[in-house]
Amino acid sequence: MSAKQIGLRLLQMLIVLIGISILTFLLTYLSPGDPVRNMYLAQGVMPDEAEIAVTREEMGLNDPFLTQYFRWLGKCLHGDFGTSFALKKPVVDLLLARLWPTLKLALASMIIMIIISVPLGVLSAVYQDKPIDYAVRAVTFFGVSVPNFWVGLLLILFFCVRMKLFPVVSSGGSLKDLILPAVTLAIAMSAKYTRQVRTAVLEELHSDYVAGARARGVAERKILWRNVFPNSLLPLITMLGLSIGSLLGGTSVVEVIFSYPGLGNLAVSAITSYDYYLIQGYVLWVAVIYMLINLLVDISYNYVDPRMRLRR
Amino acid sequence: MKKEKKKSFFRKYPAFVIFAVLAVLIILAAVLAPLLTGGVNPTKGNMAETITPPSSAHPFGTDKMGRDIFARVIYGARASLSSTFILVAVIFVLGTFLGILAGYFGGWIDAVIMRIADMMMAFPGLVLAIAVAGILGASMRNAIIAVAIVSWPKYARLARSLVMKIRHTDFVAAAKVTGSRTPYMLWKYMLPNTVTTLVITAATDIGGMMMELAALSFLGFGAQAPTPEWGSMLNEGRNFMQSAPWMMIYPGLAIFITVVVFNMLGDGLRDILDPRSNEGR
Amino acid sequence: MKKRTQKIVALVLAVLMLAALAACGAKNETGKTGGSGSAGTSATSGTGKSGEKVLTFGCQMYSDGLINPASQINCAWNCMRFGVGEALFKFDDSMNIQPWLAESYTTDDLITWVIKLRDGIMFSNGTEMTATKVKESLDWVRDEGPNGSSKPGKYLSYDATITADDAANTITIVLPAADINLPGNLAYPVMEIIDVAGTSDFDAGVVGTGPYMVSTHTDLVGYEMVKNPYYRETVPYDKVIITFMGDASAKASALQAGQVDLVENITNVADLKKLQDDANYTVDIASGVRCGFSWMNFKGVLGNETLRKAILMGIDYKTICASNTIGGLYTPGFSVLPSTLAYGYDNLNNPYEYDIDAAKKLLDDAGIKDTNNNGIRELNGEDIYLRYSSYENRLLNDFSDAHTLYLTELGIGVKSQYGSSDDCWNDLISFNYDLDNNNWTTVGTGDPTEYLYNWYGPSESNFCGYQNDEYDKLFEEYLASSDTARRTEIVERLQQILIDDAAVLVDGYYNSSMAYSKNVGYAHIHTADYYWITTEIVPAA
Repeated sequence: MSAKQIGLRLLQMLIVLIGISILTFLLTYLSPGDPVRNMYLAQGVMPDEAEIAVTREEMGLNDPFLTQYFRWLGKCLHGDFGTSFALKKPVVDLLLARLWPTLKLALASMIIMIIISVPLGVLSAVYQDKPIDYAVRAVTFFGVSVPNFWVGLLLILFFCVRMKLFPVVSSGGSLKDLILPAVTLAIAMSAKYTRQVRTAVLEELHSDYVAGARARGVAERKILWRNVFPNSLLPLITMLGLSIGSLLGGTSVVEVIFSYPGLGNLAVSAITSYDYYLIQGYVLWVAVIYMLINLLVDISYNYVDPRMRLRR
Repeated sequence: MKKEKKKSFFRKYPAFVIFAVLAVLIILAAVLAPLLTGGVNPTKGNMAETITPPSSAHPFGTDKMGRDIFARVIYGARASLSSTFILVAVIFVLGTFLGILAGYFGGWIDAVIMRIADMMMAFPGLVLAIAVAGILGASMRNAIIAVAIVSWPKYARLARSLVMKIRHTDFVAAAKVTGSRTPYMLWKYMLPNTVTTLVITAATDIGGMMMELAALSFLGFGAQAPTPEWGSMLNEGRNFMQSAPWMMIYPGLAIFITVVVFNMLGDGLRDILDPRSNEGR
Repeated sequence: MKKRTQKIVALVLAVLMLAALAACGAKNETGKTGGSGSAGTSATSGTGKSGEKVLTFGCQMYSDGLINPASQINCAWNCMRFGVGEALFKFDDSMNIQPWLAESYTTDDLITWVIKLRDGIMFSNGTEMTATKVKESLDWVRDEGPNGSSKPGKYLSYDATITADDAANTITIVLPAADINLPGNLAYPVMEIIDVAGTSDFDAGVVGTGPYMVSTHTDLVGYEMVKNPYYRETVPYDKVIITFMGDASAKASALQAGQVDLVENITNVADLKKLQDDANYTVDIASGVRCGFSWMNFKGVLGNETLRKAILMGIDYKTICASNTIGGLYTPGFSVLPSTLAYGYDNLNNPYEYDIDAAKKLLDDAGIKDTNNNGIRELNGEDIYLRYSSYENRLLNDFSDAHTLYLTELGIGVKSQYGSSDDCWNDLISFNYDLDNNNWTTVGTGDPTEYLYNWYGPSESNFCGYQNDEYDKLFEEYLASSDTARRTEIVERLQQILIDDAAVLVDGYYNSSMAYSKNVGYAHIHTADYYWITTEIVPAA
């Protein structure tokens, strides 16, 4: 990617980031609850109306929207995302502590997903309409249709309680804690991704150049390895990038079921306590992370597909 | 004559017909819930009959408030189906409209709409939904709003790319030259080109959207008690996995079956409308 | 060749996935309940590396598991329960006062008390616990009092003065008014003795005299505790790992899976029964001194007496307690004090036994009817919607749900405000509720004084706005009296006053429990459940 392209991309990113920040700030600005009252309550103090009014003035909550927004933005840029009412700690610390476990979970799920999906999808495409194709399609079909939290619960029942292989409640990010949640997440995602892999490979297989190569008598295996697979990589990576979003979101449900100490779990408990700053920080961080990952995907895109480099 | 035509339609697309029938049956079950459940009230509990296993009086057993699970599963279809359809409809209309606008007019309209779409896509769906639910309050309506906000970009992008493909073709230029006005252009030329693909996308998305809403309810951010809804019923059944598994099995099965039917329906629809696709036929 | 291996691998994977899914489904369908034969295989319990004795404990998380005694009552309890904080006195299982950090006390007039402290007590950081340190702690918690909601003034008046005599190792407390139950008050968790000067992290790192001390704290997840090297007795475990578990089912599952060896309060009836029937686990149950009850906010719509009476008459508390959902974990009752205590329960009379038709008639006669046919009755032209605060613990949400069922039948709307125990508490203290469901211990200080303060007009812990002149007068007499017979008489009468005024919606009387695996030699749930992790809990021989 040329410098100009990178620069353009970054500019776009910046605009989107600003938009995200406004949206996130809007969320709490629009909330029906009263952050000042909640703050006092969380400290176990019963304030009276006069106190609340004074504090609101002190916290600058009566200022116009834009003033508040820029103040908040300024603080964020300095790394101050506010303090959690319920947990009495800076939001940054809380998010940081939970960030790595969630990323680990997402990464593990993605690895499992790739290991399962790519071979299955390829096989299914190469042997289209043969028994293995039907088998894979049937399995993926079910995988896509089953709610992942149901699967998670069944897995807990089976592997944790009956077979005592894994802990029921996660106590930290150890490997054992990771396996079942990752598998649960991976199942639904693999099903979807396998189908996408199959479609991508099929499209290549049915394209003209393959027909041409076959007509010229090139060995099937050669066609597969030298042409079809590399050309499928591009759409595969694109789709991988798209699934990251679902992954980051999907961790929430899985984390709750398995009591896994990640970002999603934190967010869900923040919501029951109306812990605004924490919710805000969470949304902002996840959005930014997602954007960064997309950027990485786009960049890798460019290295894989020479056509992109030449275009523009 | 008609009979022959129908026969050949069925022969050609047996999958679609079968699943269309099943889908209609499911919808009917939701609509005719009072009939199917024999007038049992799904929100009325009976503390003398809590957590009883399936029996003749209660085919799916009772939950911890003594409510009949069979009735709740059938009525649950109402909540799940109606919210899903509303959601998909909203996304479809919003996305298509904005996408066509962006694709047709280009320029800064395109830029603005696409940047907004990017922003929305920057939030993983469930994340924003959780935040919206947490801040605006948990309810089915807010859940729909939240999921809709993050999902319309996909349709917008699709519509936009389809429109852009034909925007510069000759027949469009001809129409413009002969003085066709913009709304006419949009309605008569752009829309039909996009509808097919988008309808297919929507149909195949129904299952996924249903599960998203169920997931939100499962976390407690969608339907609120005592409204019967499959996701929240699964959440209630969590604590009784071992001792009263029926509380979890039947709602889960309901979601599963419904999603399977609509997914197959979507696939079948795609086969009819877009036979070029390599999936299946 | 490569293709073939790929094919085989993929085939195997697909088959495995199918098999797993099928197996899960099959097991679930038959609902078998076997599978608990082998002992726990978790790597974290039992003995750790190099023969380290580790206790894994699963428990409910209150107030995010923080342990600052001054900030919140639940935090004070956490501190004592986790084996960090100890008080001057403690309760035995008959709720009698026993010495703990104090040895003995003398008083002539119930106003001046001289308390002799035990010698040789050390805090977990090596500091000696002198009389001055004790005074510092008691002063500190009262200074911090107004900033939190522990309300220490209830246990030791803000106007009480403390003098420390390090040489004799005594403290002298002079109360502003006679109080027969000072030792009981001093046994309450809020009054635990901590090293104020030596603590830097009051939220999760309090330094106390207990057998265990905090090593690490993970937000919302749990604690790792290590033994207090300066403890006066032998400490049975080297490490205690406390893991917070959100719901009753998780505790039972974790115990059965071997992830923890000890859990408190399994409140899922079926799980409890299963553990009781299983020879690999021991279940210990303490009869109820706890009462589950909903405060009624007199400052809101429930200030209307007819409404309150109708509500009590419209709720079938006996059937609720007998249901499979509650299943014997609660004993039904209609007074705020448990029937098992010796405060004359049998002499009490309940004028509002369940009678749904009478309840409806009562409301109709009072003009509280549903005039716009939306199923909800109106009071003063507005639909009646009761805000019901509750939290997921000891089946409280289930009670609240059950109450909602009956209230709906009665034509009264309910807006559920379920949240964490903190949220429920915050709703209570800010009067942001109409019904607020809680489960409290009733004889927290050995007698029901602290508990009955809740309905005393001028009390700072009266979170419902209830006021009854006869109650106040009798309560004041009770506070000043030292005649035990007369006091018992008064308590009986106070209960009846509350019942007649339909002031409280009682769920029932709760029975605490503890369950443990074969890795634990002995554990016991005390009547006063301030004591969870104690030195009585020992590893299996």
